[in-house]
Amino acid sequence: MESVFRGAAIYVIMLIVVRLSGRRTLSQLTAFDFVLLLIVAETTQQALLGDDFSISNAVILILTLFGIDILLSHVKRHLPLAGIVIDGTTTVLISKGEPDWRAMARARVQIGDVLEAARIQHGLARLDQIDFAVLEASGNISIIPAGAGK
Amino acid sequence: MGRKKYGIAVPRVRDDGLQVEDSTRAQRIFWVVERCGWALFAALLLLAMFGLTGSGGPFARAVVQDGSGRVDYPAIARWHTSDDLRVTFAGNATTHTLEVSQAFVDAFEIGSMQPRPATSTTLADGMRFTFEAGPDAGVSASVFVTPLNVGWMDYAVRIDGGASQEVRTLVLP
Repeated sequence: MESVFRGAAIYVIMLIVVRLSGRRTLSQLTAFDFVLLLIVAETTQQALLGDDFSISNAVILILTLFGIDILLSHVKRHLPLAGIVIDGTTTVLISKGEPDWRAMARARVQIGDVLEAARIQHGLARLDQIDFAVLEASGNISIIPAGAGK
Repeated sequence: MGRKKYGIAVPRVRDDGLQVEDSTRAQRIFWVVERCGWALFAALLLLAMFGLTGSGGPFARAVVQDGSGRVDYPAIARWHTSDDLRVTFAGNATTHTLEVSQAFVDAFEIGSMQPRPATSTTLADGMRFTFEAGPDAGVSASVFVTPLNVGWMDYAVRIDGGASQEVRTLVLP
């Protein structure tokens, strides 16, 4: 029983912390973020297992974590608001070439991040070549070049 | 927003022509919640720095004392994590006793003790440990314990037959 509570508690806490840390944390895997992910993984391991290193405990924990994941996916499907809370929603950063500065500040996105995405995805050189820039729930920035889709 | 079969929603087309479900209002509410969350993180870290989450810090431990001696005990402990009671006996007797209530025995797994007690005796309500001291030697003892449960643990300690001291330890998960 304790294994299920441990697994559920750690899953929920990690979900809350990762969501509240902002989407940029998810998509920007700099060296620091990579190290952070490794350390967090090690930190949660002991909390999940406690002093029980049996196969049974590991199986129960794995099933608990995947079970919660499946349960949440069903909840998100039937409750769109839950999906927004759990996964977040998209944020339009640039609309018809006009940046939404407030949205960018709130999402902690720099113009340099948008330009980087534009260069990587479409080889664009300037801001005025971007029609739309959308911050996805995953933390990635999608770029629609000016003149595309017309 | 239209809905097709199987509950799959089709995002609306915005005024600027972009078809995306951006839930602006929900996103703005989330940003407020996010910043409140950051404040909560900072508050928790501050609490931890002051010892209010256990494992060291100014408020992690507390002391009770009387003429018989003093007991330095964990005010905040962590479940399944070793901690200790530090007892300092007053006086120059060659034998000192530490009594703990049954509530203490139920709440904590008693590990090693330094120095090792000469005797351990079960009582109607708890246990008594007897420590021996050389002539003119003060005695301090450490009892290493591990919390067995989470929550408030109320128990009593008594040194050398003196007054029973009621103490409380908060065990965090």
